[in-house]
Amino acid sequence: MRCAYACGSNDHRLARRDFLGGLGGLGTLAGLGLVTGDLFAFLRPAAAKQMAAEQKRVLVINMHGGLSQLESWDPKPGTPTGGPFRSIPTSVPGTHISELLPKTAGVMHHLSLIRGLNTSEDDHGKGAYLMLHGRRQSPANDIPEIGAVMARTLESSDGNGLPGHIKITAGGGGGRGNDAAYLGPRYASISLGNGNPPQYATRPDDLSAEQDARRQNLRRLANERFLSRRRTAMTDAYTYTFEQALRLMEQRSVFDLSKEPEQDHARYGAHDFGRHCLLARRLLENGITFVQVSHSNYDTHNENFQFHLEQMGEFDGPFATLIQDLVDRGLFDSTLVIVLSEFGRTPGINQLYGRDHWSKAWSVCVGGAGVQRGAVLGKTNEHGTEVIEGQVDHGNLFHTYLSAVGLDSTESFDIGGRPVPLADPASKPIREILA
Amino acid sequence: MQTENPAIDAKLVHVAEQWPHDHPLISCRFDPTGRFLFACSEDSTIQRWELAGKTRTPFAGHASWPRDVAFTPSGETMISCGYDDSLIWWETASPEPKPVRVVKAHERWIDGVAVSPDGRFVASAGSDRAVRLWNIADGSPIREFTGHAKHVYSLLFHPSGEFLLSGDLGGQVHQWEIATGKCARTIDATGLWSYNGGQAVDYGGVRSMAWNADATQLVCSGLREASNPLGAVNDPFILRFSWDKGEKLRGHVVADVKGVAWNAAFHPLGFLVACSGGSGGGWLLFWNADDDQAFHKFQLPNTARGMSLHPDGIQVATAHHDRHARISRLVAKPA
Amino acid sequence: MDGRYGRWTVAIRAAVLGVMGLGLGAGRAEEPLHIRIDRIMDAAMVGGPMGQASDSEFLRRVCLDLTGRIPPVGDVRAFLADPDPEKRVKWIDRLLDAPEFVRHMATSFDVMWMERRVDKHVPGAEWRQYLHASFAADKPLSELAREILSADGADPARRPAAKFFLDRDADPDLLTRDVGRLFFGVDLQCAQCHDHPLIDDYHQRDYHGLLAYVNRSVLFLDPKDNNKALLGEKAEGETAFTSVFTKESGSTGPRLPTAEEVEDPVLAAEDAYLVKPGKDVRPVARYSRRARLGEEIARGDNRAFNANLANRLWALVMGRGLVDPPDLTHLENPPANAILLDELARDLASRGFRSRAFLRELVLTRAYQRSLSAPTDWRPVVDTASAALIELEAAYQASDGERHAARAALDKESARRAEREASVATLRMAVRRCESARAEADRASRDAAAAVAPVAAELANRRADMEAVASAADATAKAITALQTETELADAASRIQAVRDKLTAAMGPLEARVAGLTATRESAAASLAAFDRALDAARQALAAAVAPFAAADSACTGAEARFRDAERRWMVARRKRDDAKLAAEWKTILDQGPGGAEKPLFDERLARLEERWTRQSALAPLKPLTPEQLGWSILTLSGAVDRHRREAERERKQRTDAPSDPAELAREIEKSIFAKLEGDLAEFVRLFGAGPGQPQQTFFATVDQALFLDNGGAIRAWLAPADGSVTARMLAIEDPSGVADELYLSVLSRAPSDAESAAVREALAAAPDQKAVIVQELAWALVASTEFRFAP
Repeated sequence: MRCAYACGSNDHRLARRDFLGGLGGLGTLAGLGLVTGDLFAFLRPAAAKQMAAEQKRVLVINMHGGLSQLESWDPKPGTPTGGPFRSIPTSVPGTHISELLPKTAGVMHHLSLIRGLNTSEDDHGKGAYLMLHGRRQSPANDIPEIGAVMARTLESSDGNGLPGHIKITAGGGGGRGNDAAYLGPRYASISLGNGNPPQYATRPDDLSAEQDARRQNLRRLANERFLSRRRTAMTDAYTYTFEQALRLMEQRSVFDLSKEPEQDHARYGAHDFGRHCLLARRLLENGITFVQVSHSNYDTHNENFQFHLEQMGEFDGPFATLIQDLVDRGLFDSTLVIVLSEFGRTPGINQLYGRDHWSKAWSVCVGGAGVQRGAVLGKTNEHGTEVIEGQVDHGNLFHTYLSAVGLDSTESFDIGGRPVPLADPASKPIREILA
Repeated sequence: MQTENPAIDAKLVHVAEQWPHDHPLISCRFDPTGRFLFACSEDSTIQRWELAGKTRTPFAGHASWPRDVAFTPSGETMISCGYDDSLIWWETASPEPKPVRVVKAHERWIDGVAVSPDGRFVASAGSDRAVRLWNIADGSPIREFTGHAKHVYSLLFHPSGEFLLSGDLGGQVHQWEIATGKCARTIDATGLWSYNGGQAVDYGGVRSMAWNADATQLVCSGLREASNPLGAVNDPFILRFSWDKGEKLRGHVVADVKGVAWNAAFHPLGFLVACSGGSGGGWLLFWNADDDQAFHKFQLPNTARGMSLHPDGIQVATAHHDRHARISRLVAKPA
Repeated sequence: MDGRYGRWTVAIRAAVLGVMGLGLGAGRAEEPLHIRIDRIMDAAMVGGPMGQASDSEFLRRVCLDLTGRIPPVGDVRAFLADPDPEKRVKWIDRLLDAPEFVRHMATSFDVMWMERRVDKHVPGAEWRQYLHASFAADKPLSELAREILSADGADPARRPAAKFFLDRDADPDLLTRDVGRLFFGVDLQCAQCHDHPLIDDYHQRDYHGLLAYVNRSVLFLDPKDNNKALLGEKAEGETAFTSVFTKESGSTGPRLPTAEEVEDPVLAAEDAYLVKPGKDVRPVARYSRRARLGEEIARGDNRAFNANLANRLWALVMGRGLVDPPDLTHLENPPANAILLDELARDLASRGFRSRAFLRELVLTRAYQRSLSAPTDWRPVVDTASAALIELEAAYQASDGERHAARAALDKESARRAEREASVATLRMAVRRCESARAEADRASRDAAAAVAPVAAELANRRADMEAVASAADATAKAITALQTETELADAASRIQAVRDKLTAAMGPLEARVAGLTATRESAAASLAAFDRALDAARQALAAAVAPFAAADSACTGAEARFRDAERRWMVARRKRDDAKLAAEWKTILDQGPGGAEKPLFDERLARLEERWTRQSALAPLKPLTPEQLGWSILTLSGAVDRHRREAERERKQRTDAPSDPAELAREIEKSIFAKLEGDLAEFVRLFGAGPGQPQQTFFATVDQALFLDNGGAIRAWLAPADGSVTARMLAIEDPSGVADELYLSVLSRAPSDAESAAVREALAAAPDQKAVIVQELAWALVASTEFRFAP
């Protein structure tokens, strides 16, 4: 296992200075409850406004099971590994993608492709982990998922009361995920089952609005009296959550897909993925920092082509529509969009017309905040069996995502006085893809 | 099984010949005269073998994988369909075959092609869910049959020439009136389809259809028990319907074979032949009309992807992933 | 001090420690720990304490800390009414005897050690039952730790103890990290690849020394017992490491933080295992490093282990460890009071690691019973503190000088010790060489002796033959005289001569061989004697060198102890100086006062000042309730606890086999209440507990917690006026002031102020026909208030 600290770089000395400095000053507060961020975030309205202005968002679309790069971002038509699908030109001269993505091809000039990905991990769980964490899993070193990292680092300090880390799931939902590691539950994902609002966000029927208002006032009075005796970062953070809760309840419609106009429902389609993309647009528009949508399932060991025909057909429309909408609504430049999977699929076609797990040479698609438009980075050989140019891995991608939203990916979190690096200190961003 | 012709006995089935190609094969058909075997290949060609001389001739013209071929009753003209959204007309016996006519018939995939009994029309269907009728003489569009909700896999004309049947991924078999384009009825073959919630995928469908000798019965081939669609865990399955009522008569199954029944055909002697391919390898399967269980199964050297029954009732051709077409014979091995 | 001087000094160290042990036992015993704590605390304070907790503040605090829930309203009334001046001591003992105390300890240590990990191989219920039984028996914590760190899960009786290792899948890095954090208070994770980049006193050697204790342990899934997880242990596997920075590498045997490397017993390869490794076989080493780990800590002389335990018990009731975070012990994160931590660690060890008696002393301190209220006017504090700055600065400088002097002395002593150690080592080598040489000689001489025997026997036979022939010859000679002819005579003579010649020829070489072998044997015996003499000499030399080394070693240990004392005094002096400095800054801030725009900054800095004075324990810290404390407190208000208690009591009355011993009965009743309500805690844990495997003492506030309190159906139900809930009792009271009293005494364990009481009366008067609604609003408002969320 690699160590969690910035091994072998100057970051040590830097981190150390901050760290010691921290101990002298706010470090003590951090020790007290690690809520310094919360406290000062809303004690300084000026700073809050400034941050809100530069608010960045992140959308991750997770293609469950292992999307075939050959049937999507890196087609090899007319070769023994290419399969039956042809490639089509896109809005970016010279860039071709699979014919299964005609609508996406039309918005390609907003997006960029990374075709030199080699993550050397063919296990579903481990592959998904390293793509979402930027590092390999290691029992002794539990680290937060990208959503938690983004929710923490991009937190909008105007406190809109909405959770910053949302995963849209097909059903159920409402609960808090366990994906924030040392960043703490505040940044753990809230899952929204098909647009149900978060758990407990609905006032009980037997409690009228004015009754609630009345008891909330009694609560505030009680707090005032107590806080005059003792006020700390913790008390501030706690009382603040009740104001957040009220604001969230007011904004419950943010999670209510039925509030979107009929024609948009039509444009996105009636199936789950279409509706989830529309919900993602709604959430991002309402200032939610990180939204993750999943599309299932691409683990096509059997009839890879039939299944990709169906699944890509479902993906293409809503995805292209979402990209275009984000552009049209002026959100795209501040929203990092990532289409990832746990790995790609084998160039070799098996006897079941299937493709198996393949992490040696595959692709992801990125766009929006901080990344180039219409770029293609990295190259695989004629049959797509190897990366021959611009090879990168999950560590580089994670650094790149952070850099794209304006963070210094070599920086560290201060976790109770311990500096913990945002991304694998042994890796670095892909400069060429950054805008 | 008992037959009047003692020479033919499904239980005697054996692989008599295997013809190599340099790419995996997808499907195969004998021409009506029984002179040639045609096989679609992953190299986007159609390969023609002359049974007599076993000479192999490539038909190059499709821009992607060809999926299937159909012949005019005389066998003079062959029409192929492919994943390049095109129908291509060919001279079946041409020494140097070239596309005679190319028609962009659909968007993306064409899975089904069939020629009307009178040889005037060719029908096509595919992933755009459309079923279309074309004039064989000039390739002009005649009619479109709309109503499928899912990818259409297979086509079959009624011998009377009045109706066209089309079967889709969802297990819906629509019966279209050629004359009016109306959907006369829909036969429910949804037993061949399933939706897997965990994997969020539709799977199965009507992979092929066939008539019995007097067209009183229809069979639809495919799969069932798809516990893991993405992992090819499913059993071959054939549904038998009565034509007059469109009712399900029987579901034909076989023990201990995992796969898909890609094609099914009635042998002139009345028993049912199908090929199965998939995670369980390649098989030739045989059923009597009155039994659910197959009375014989024969394992082929490699997974099978397509099957065709020779007019002589003795030879059965199969197309394989291991780059071979194979001829099996339903008679005793020569001593 | 990272010396590795094996078996020779272990005995000596033990002796020295024994002496020290006696030393600290004597002279301190007569004075109770809580007095000593307060003296040390007072001495470390700048500007004096800020008032003590009121009775109600004290009761709420001590109930939450010892029984994990707020006091039932009945107890509140009773305590406040109790005129006994010693009532706090009385109630402390009552709470320590309550079954809820055992439950609270079991829960606290479960959460501390397992950090709410999802159950994997050992059912959580069995593990918690094991902890519960251990605390019920007031098992020494060192013993508990030994059981947990050495159990392999094979013995069904002790299987629950193996949860710590098993549920971490025996992953060596994870175990090294968590054993370090949770049992020694050091998070060495990042000293794995290189010396810690940020913490000078975390070394790669420390990480790998701890790793060596666990990296031979393997998770074994028993195929014969549906893959039941057990711990196996290999007899080999050393820990070598290379720094990813400096590339310098080293290796270490098992070594605990602040201790010396231990020497593994040397076992021949063939008896290294009780059960040899193999397919589907759980390897069991004859010598278990894990068991050794248990013994090392159970001996009670490991500074880090003792300090960590003391610190965590302190944190349990004081809200925060003297070292905080508790797993980041190092120079740059000094304890709030290093002298006190040392005192606590030594006291805990000297009282045999009994948590109950130790905690009793902590809650008896004035430091524990400080008031929560921050001063409304900081000026007096700030004035006294800043006035003392010059004096404190001087004191700090002095302590710094003493510290350097002590360090120099230590260096000198350890240099001498190293010297002596080296010579001892050389002499030991010499002895070893002599021993092996002598053994060699011994074998040689025995071989020589063995070689002579057969040949000598052979020679003897030949001699016998010769005599036989001789006598035969004489007989012949006699016969010859009787012979007639010359020829017969000659014949006989020559035949005899021939036989003689043959025998003589055969005998010559034999005699030679016997002579040769005998010579060898004698020389071998001679050289053996020589080696014996050499060995004696070497042994004497070694013996002579050991004594001075032992002396140097104990001198060194003494010097180290003196240095550590100096260092602790220095840390405290530095903190006092720094606090005085901060106070001085505040004089100016206070003069300016909280100007409008500067208000946030002012608050921020005020929070910092309060924090510093809390660390001095001049001010009681604000302690967020754990999920369990929050849940039990609300369940107490809901009346559920009382209801189930009454049920249990009724049910016991009907039973004939109900225990007669009241304490026993109380335990049974608590068990059945717990069993009934345990499930209701799950939602509190889910929402208010940190994630699995994360440190659980960290406070966080999330919006879903507030939403749960706002809209959760359970909360609504618990605060509904039914089943003896607080609102039911309020509803039953006519007099509005009485309602106010019931509300505040129940929810906040204190009487309402006049203003608060008036507010309640107002609310009730506003809607006389809606009393049921109003009492719920009032109760909810206090339950959702900050005062309820945090322990005073």
